[in-house]
Amino acid sequence: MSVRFTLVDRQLKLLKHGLQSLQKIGNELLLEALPARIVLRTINSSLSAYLSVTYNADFFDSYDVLDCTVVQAGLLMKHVLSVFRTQKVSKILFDLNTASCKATITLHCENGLVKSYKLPTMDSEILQATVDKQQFAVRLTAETAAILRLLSSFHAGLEEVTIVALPDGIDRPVHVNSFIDPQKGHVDKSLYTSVQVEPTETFLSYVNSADEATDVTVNLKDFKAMLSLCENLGTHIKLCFDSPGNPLVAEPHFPHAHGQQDVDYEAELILSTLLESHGGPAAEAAAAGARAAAAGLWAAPGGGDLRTPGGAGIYQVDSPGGTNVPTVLNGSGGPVGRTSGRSAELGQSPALAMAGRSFPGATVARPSSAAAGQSRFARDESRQQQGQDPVPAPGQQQQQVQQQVQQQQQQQQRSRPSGLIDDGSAWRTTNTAGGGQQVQQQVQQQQQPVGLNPLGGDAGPLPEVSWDDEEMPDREEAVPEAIPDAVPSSPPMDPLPTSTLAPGAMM
Amino acid sequence: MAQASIASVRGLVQVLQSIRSHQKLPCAVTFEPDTGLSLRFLDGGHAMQSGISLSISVFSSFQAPASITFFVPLSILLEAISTVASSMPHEIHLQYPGPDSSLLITTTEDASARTSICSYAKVATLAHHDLSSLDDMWDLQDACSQVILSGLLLREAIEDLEWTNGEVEFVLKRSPMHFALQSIKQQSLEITFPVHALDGFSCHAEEVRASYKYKHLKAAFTHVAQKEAWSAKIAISSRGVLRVTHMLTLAGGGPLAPLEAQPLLGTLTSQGHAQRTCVSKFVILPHEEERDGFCGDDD
Repeated sequence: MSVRFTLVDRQLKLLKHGLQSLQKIGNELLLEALPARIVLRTINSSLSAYLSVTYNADFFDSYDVLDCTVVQAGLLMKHVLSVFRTQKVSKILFDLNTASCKATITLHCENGLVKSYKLPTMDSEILQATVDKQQFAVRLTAETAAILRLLSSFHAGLEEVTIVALPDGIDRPVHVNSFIDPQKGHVDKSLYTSVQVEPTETFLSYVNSADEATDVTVNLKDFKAMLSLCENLGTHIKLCFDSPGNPLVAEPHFPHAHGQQDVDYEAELILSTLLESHGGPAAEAAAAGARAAAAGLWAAPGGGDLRTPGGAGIYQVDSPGGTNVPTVLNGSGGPVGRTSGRSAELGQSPALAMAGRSFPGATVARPSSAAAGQSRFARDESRQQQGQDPVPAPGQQQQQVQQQVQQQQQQQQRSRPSGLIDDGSAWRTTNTAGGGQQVQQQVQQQQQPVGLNPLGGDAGPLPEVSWDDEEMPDREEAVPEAIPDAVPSSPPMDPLPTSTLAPGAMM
Repeated sequence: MAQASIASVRGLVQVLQSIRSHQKLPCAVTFEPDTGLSLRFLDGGHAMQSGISLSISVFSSFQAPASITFFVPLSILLEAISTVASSMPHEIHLQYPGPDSSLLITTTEDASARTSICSYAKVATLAHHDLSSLDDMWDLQDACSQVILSGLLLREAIEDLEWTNGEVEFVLKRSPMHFALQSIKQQSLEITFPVHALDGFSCHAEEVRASYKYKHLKAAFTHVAQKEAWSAKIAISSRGVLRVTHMLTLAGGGPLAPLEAQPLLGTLTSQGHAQRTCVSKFVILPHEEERDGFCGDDD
């Protein structure tokens, strides 16, 4: 089984840009060659970022998949990129043969040298993520340079940002805020930046179909990998996100393409987001206003389930050898997660979800060689691989949640970050009452039998669950049970003061 | 007393850097009244010799009443010359013996310069070492294969071969004409040179293969800092000994001494080019596992 293709001129640069962006996410290149296209994928070690770059067969000068319908292999990213160190290459021939477990890359240089690299391949599991972006509430398209300028306002060491989308009707409804993890400390000493954006002046298109404020917190470095790819490709960038816990999807937007057939390559970055909302005072004010306006429409069933709609479970993947392994099903009997038109021709690949962050509706498989990350979003890889029950003992869960309560209380006692414009609003009371009650409910949930709340934030790795219909409502029926209790008892917030910045201006 | 002055300070520094080594071992410096200045260096593993030959014509003045050879640590000599030459002086002077039998290096500024700064360095010489000639490792009676090609191509190829972190094999084939370098480990890389770039190709057998340690090849090919193309000759004897000869051009400099005959690689060059050319030479023994066990670690 083998795949061969040749590249010249412009395609070389595009392939190199794609590989460079993939290297910023993961160390392992997962290659899947189909007759119509070749897909390069990678996932980071903490399983919180997934990037795929797809090149259609027309992209190449010549492209063949021989003796089979699909070729799958893994390569070390640094080996592949070392091939592209050579400047002034006139032609590249790529030949991957799974029988010999070798990938041969031959470079024909402009100075006459012919360099033939032979790289060993690795046996990696198939990787695929499917996300139904069309159901996401917030979708925007922007020039890549505009997003880069916006992010240049944040200091270089910042790890995560929160993107807030307020409901329509609010002035400058899109905020981009620094997110500083309170677990890492230094909250009071860190520089906090907030940029308020007028979509009509900054974005090429902006749609927010959510009725209330929503926000997502993502890793900035991973997000910039897609930005650099879009910049190198000369495209705009399209972002789709929904609510905390749902992934953020970023992809290049080709300004002059009239349809899919005009473009012979594409990319997609799926970033996990924090389950907790970090929208800040503006989002809470907008949410409080929306709730007050829609009072009576929400019911609060018992149990305080904090699961995000869509849910997730533990999945297993089809190995390259073709063995079938069971997937976890939802109450309706189908695979958990929403699907989109981007599902691979191989069909749905079950996915692994991650404690603290999840890809509801996104199915992502972890390659066998991925190292277990120690981030707060990583699962307990070793226990999972050994097939043991990954659920910590109830006593451990209780301890973890109690630690959370303490941290929340400490956070509430801190003064708000300096430098923020004093509008006399949400810093007064919101965090104190709501946060504590919210976490108290979480403690109660953890005391329930294991398996009912697999998405309980950082409570631990996800258990193997079976979903009953009652526990797995559809997205439209999702009732955030805890939210009414989390509404602060304080009076409605004053509207935010008008900023001195010009509309659409960036800090 | 032997003295030499050279105006091409930047060029001298570049040429000397082509044989640089981190090892604190002595090199032999020889003032020859007929042929000019030469340096010879033997690495710690005794598997590689390197040397530079600067003909009398590249110096603005050269005096050597008799053949004088002395020994200085190569790394210290290069450092001293680089330091005094860092201000890009007009000329650099070498004098031996200096005070306390040291090598005296001085620089002078141009007469039209606004400031007049004289820098000097005294490099202590070492006791005599038994350092054989480069040609002693090369048996002229042995049949050899050889090829002349661009030093830039060779440098690029050797730099790429660092990726495999293994020994490098030279492969020459007589028919069809073929010259390639390859390194095979868990990952492998083979670099084939274009036929049109191979000058003076001759192969004493149908196929010639010889392997060498990468660090020796790196020292022989990648330390040449010249950006312009230069010619390099590769010769491999029947015993696998590799001899590399670089024809380097000294950059910069003022008026030259009268032209002398320059038998350079058997090819004719322009008079101006010949005056600015110096020879950098390396002789490398082939990599054999038995040798490693016998000679120990080079470093």
